[in-house]
Amino acid sequence: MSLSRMLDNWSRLNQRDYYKDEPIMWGMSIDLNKCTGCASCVTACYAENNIPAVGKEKCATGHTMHWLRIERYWDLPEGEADLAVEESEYPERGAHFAPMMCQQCNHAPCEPVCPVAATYHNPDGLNAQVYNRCIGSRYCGTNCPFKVRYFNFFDYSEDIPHPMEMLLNPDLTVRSKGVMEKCTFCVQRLRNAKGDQADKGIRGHVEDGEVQTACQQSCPTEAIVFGNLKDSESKVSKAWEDHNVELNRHEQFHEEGERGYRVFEELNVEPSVMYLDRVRDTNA
Amino acid sequence: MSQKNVKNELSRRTFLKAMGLTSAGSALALTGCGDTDIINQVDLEVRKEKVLPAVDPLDFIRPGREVHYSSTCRQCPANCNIHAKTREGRVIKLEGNPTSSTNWGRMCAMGQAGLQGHYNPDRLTKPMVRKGGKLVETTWAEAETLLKKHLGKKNAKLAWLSGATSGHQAVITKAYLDAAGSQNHFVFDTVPPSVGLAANEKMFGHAIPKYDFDKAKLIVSFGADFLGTWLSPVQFGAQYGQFRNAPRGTLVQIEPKMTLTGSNADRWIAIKPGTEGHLALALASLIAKDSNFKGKKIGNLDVDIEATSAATGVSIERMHKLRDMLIAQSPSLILSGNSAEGFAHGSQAANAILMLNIMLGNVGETILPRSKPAFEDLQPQLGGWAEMKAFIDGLADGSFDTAVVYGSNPLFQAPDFMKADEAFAKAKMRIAFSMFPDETTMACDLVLPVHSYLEEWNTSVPAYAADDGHLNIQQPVMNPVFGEGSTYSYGDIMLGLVSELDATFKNWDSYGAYIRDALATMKPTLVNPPKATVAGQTDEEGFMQGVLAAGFVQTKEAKASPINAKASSVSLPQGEAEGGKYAYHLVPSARMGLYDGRFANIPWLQELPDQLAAVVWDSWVEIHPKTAEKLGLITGDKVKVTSEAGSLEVSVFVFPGIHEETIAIPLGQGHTEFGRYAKGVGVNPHKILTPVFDEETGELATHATKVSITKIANRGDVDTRKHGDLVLESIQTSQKGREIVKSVSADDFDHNEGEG
Amino acid sequence: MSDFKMKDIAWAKINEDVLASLESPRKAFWIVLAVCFALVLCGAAAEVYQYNEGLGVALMNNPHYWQTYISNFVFWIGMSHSGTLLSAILLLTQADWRKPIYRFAEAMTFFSIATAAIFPVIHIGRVWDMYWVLPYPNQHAIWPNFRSPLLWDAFAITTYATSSALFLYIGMIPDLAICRDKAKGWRKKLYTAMSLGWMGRATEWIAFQKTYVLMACFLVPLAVSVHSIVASDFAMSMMPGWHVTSFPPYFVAGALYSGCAAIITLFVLLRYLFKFEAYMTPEIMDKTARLTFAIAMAWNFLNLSEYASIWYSHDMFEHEMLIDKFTGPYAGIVWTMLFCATIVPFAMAWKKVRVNMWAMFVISLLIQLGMWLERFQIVSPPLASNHEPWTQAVVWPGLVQMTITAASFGWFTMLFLIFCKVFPSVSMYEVKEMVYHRNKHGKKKLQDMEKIKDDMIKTEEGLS
Repeated sequence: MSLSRMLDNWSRLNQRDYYKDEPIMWGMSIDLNKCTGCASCVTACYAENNIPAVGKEKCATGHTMHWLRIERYWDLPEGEADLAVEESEYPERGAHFAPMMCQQCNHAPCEPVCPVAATYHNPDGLNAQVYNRCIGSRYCGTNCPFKVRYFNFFDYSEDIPHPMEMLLNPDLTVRSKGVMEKCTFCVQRLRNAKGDQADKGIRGHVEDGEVQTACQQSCPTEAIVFGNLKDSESKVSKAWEDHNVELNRHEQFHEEGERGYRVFEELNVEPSVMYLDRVRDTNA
Repeated sequence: MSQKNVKNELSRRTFLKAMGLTSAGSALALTGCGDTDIINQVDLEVRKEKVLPAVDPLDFIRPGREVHYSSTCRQCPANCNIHAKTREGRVIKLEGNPTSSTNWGRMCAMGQAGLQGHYNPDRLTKPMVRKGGKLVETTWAEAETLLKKHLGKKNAKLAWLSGATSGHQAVITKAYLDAAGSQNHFVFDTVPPSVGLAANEKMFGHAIPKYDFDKAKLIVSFGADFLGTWLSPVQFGAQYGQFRNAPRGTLVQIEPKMTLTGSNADRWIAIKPGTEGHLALALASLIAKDSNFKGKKIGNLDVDIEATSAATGVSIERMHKLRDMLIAQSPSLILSGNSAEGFAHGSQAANAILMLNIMLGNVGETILPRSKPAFEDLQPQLGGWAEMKAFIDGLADGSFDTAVVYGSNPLFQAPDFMKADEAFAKAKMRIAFSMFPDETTMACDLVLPVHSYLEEWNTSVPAYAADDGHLNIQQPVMNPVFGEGSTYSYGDIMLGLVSELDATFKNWDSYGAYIRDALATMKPTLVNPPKATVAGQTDEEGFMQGVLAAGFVQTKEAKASPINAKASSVSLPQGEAEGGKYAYHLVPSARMGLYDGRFANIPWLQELPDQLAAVVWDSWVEIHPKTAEKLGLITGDKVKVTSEAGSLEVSVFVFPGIHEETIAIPLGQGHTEFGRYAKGVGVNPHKILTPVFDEETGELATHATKVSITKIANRGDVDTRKHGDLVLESIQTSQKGREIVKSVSADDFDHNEGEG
Repeated sequence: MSDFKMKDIAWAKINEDVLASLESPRKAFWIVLAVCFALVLCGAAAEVYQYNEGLGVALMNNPHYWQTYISNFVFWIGMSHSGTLLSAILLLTQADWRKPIYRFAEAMTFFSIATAAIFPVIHIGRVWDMYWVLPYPNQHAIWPNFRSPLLWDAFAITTYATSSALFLYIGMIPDLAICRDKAKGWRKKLYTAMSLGWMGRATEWIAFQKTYVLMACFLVPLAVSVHSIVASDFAMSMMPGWHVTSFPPYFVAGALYSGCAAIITLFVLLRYLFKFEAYMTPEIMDKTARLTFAIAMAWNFLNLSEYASIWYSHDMFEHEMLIDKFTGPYAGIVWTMLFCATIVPFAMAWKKVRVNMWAMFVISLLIQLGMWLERFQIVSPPLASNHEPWTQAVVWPGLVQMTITAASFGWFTMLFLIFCKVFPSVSMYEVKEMVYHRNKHGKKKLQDMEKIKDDMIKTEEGLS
């Protein structure tokens, strides 16, 4: 931790797109045309990531820990009034579901504010959270526009009754009281996949489909696509391309049939998760 | 060796019969069965995991490396194929089996949460016996003696109630009952749409034909929640995903309470409960009279459209629109689900709805035939309320003196009017095979704790098989959680019982051996049976390893003959009986999550917010905003919901997706037993159902109850996420102008998307 | 200035009066002290409970990651600013009416920083690892994140606490020497050690004056920067309602405002408890009130301009947050804040009010309440109407948070009262200086002062 190293790091930090030459950048695409809101992804995430169920009382005080939640709205955003149904007392076009998890922002607002650098951007494009380093100032949480960071307000792991602790995934930590946590894109699976490739002597490339996030794996309708955005052959980068969604834009410009957008793009946080417009047959 | 050398003494016929494999003249050959027990042998004690010694580990078990076992999810009758991920001898994650045509590698929330049932802290670990009116723990030796005493004999007054069952579990149960001379096997499962299945059977010749959602350009579903709880949600979810690809199909859902499927519809139509059949008839009439319609017209279609519109609450304009769509978008698929069928005229309504398929020429297009199953005995039995009623009536009138319950919870499910607890109390001996201290179990005299589905051998057939002849294999994916000798598999206990009465079954010293033997015996009837892959492996070993790795087998099936659909005339009641002071229809809605209540002891599912109401850990009653305004109710207020049969106290959730004259209470809660997570949470709407039965099938008309609502308490202020007693994951309904979920019209949808 | 009564006080009487405050306060002193101590004990119990159970018992949640611990932190840091204002700024601008009251204002500065510094400790999730925010050589081979305003906070607070403690101490040395000469027992030992052998020689006085002015020059920009950094905690974030460019000056103005109100409160309290009627005169109160009024107007201007800039920004998130603030569940808080901090200070436009101790006491308490609520409404309502509608929910601080908040007031007052009991809370030498100048030199005091200094130096040089 020499001063020169600090200055070196400092100049790297301020260099935009520092990781642009890295071979992997994990990204996701969520098709709201297919998402049914069934929440199998939510439970898959609980199972994969050792997320505690906190009980009714703690749900009531807002201490739920779901890294991935399904948001359900009944109305259209501003400016989409033409899609609304004629006057009706019922939501005749159904609900609006959005699976919401850490968007792994490329300009993550949570990263610069952490006093101890416990959250940082890793070379694979992940917004990494280092539990061991976290001191629990919760600044990252307040600064996250998606509010997808979850703080361990209690020592939940102490409340796991025997033998339920046996289902904990040994590939990742059981978080303790006082640290922030959030969706990691199932980083333990990503590490394993990269490790398996490294065993074969391949570095910096994971075959598309070799690794799935838990939510993607469980999704009955295949609404979630996950992969390497730097790999032009991957499904996810093709989806981004097909829907004309690019990084470093505050707004996506669409031709017919292109439905991609990122939530809160206008805040310039550069999410790595693309959503595709929900579709409704307005002739029905 | 897992098999005794006594089989030579048996005739081949008895042998096959014992395994449920007699049928259709299949040429089965007997084959030997090697010891292929590849189940992990990690020495694992509760709370004291010994690191696997490197001295003599099995070559595929390496500490730190995950091992996947193929097995079958038994959470609901859909029976998806799974891969159980184990680490150091513990199962830590369930994932879909990507090669299975039932779920294509996907899983639903309830399937994922199977782990928490398996590792549930409230699982029974010791047999219990009633002494002096109280259930006390006992030893297996004593329990076995008692069991043999009561079940190890011929007894025509023995009544047996199972949950939905299939495969060798059904076979061995049947074998025992046959041996014991009892004809009284009842099957009950709450959610499978028994009325609709009977209507299917009558009309198409198959209770559950094959559906091709993807091929349909238009799906009109009358209350079939195929994305949530209807038959096989993951299978249909996968098909739905395809259906939404270009050319994008249109989904219209017609139901009084918006289900998960309804919330994904392009058009959701609120309909007055009990009038779905009327609407279907009106549509048929409109279609038949339309000049663009070229198909065949069925029956008497002289329907008063205006009267139907008034009765159903669906505008004439909307009906015309539906007619146009149904004619233009062919082939379509018309489904009938629980909310259309739960009435005295439920069968008729289902007929009226399903008949549209025949008119529109969907049969053979989106509704496809099944072949006659090669092994009839293995086929799924989904059961229904009629069987439950027969079980209870039999107990009440003393026809049965011994009651055995496995995989079902009648005391929780049965409405109060059935007086199930009184009837159950009349039996001289009540025995439960159970994992959990549920209501029925705690009312029994002898309780035998059984393995979870992740600890035992079994086979099963999915309720909805995408391919005919699909047989799931279930193998233990880990040693029993509570150690050897705490719990036993249902199969092993049954094998012990049946071999007391039928010597044929003495061939097998364990149910696992029986299952493996059955599979080995089936080898000639299988499509592409696996062969030895490793040098030095015998063919038998190779076969067994192959099928266990695959997790399911496919039997050779005869070619399915086309459906010869028979439409019968439909008669529906005109006008509704006056409800008197009971002004609202009650919909007891099943939901993806707690299902019928069997998952109420799983914290993940309790905490999974309802997809539409976002409520956690509770029951609620859904009331339309207009009705709520009329009654002066807001979300969180406590109301008393009263029917002729009883009343419930429950919190209000004001919900736009429900017909104005309807209220809905989700199933799943209201347990009076069932462990720490379920006991005392919420209410069970089944309790206040009134005694109305479907006129044809005798099934309970679950949606026919009418209720009144009276406010009993104000909510008070909202406290964080708490509305009175009700906890919502979020109180928000609006995006507040933000672009979180953007929408686009299907006209702007890329017409090549998802192709190829 | 001729109407100052103080000019009549004999020098010896000054010593006597002030030293008496160390010995025999009114009975009420002990009552207040006991109440404060009880509050501190309650707070300690609440903190122990929270430490054991987890921060969830304070009812903070997602999205209310921050709540009263942060608003208390800002409040106490803010309060510290007026001490600096009275001592340093008024020293540099040569306003001599500050002299009888600056000592306790400086003490207030130090103790409010000491109170503020506790809140990050209470707030943080893993307090045992808190030292990681400091850039020290460590086995992790990792620096803290220099981009984080919280890290700047850590630096700012430590610097400010050290310098204000030094400033307080240095200014007290001549008085400590007086105490030393009069005291007995343990006090004698304490004062002897602390007065560093002060003899009152002219060279000592000159060195003392230079150091003191130098420290003042250093403190003024430091104080401004400290509160600007605290403002950056909010202004540097993305939250609607926090991401406001004018926050640093707004925070500084707010800090001075609430600090002045606190001075008035303590002014009245000390005057009563330690019988300082002759020193803390209504005339000084009048001046203080005028100053407070001026700062109140500056603060109000900045507050209104903040609303205006949000209103005209046409930013959806900011708009919604502002409307929610005034009409939503937090409206009561916001309107009370506006009443207390915007309307109430206008009472100080009347001289009758300004010289009425009890009226001023009430006003100052109201202003402080307003300013506490102001900090709360900066932190909480924006979190309740954040970007993501699904997570929006109103959360009120629970019993634990409120107990600890109340305890912080107890803690501050307790420390302050103990200080006043142990150290002279009125600067004896400066009051003497003031009285001297007023009697002998009238308005030309400072020029004359230079002359006297020169004379003294000459004499001392002659002596040596």
